[in-house]
Amino acid sequence: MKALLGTWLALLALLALTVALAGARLAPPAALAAALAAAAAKTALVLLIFMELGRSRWAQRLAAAASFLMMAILLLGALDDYWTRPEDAPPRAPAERVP
Amino acid sequence: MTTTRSDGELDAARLGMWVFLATEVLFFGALLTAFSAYRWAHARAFALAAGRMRLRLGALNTGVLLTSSLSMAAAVHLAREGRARAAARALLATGLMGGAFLAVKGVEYAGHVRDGLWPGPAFAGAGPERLFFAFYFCLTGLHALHVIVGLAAVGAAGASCLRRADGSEPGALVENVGLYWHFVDVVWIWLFPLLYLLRSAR
Repeated sequence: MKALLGTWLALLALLALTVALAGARLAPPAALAAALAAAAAKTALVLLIFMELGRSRWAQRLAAAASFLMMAILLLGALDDYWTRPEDAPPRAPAERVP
Repeated sequence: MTTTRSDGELDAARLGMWVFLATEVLFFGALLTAFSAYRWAHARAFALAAGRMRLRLGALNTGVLLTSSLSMAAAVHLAREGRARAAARALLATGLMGGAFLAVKGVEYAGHVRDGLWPGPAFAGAGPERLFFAFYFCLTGLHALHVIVGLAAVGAAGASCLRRADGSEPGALVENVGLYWHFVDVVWIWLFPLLYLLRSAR
């Protein structure tokens, strides 16, 4: 029960931290990195302690890990097109390609 | 505590729930991928649109949902100890917080509609901002639907605890409802920064 309370306090602290950072007017890349890092930390706490993945059977951990791996492939596979475009070549509208 | 269910059976039930949750991860994952691609293409407009969100209400709702996860984890813990009545009370607290979350969401929705942010023909903003609000209503609406389903499940788990108030059987239902509720919390943990925090003032 103590571990649950400690986890909850850590989650609320992370929430307070992200809201404070949103008011701090960071540069967009830093704000994005901070917001995503805090969300990842909250997710890890909920998965490992509230959902008990830290001490579950391996098959449950495998199902959970596989779902996040598949989602990462989906996300990175879709976004690598944007990441790898040179800055000076913005995405062209389909109409521009018509000869 | 006596139990009529083997540990193996409980593990199998939890594994089944995790496989279901894997499909849910990809369901929300596909939507978040689409959101990320459009956010990349229209970064400025999406940040401006996020600036029109009510950060305080979003932060309040995040706190409410995180706290409801605490009472849900407590309910699972108590049910395992055979303290079924205490578990039912923890589930009631979880359900009340879920209801409070939906109420705050309703207040937010009403405010958006008043501000002309429903992504219909009368939308009060530029094109890509409308796209942000289309994603916003889609993502938060589907999440709210999961909260509503979760409330029904929490009610069923609470009723099952009260039926077993003699402490006879911990039951897979409370365990699996717990996993589902925490998952719905995790979805919101990602929706909150993406929709509320990455903002810029006009």
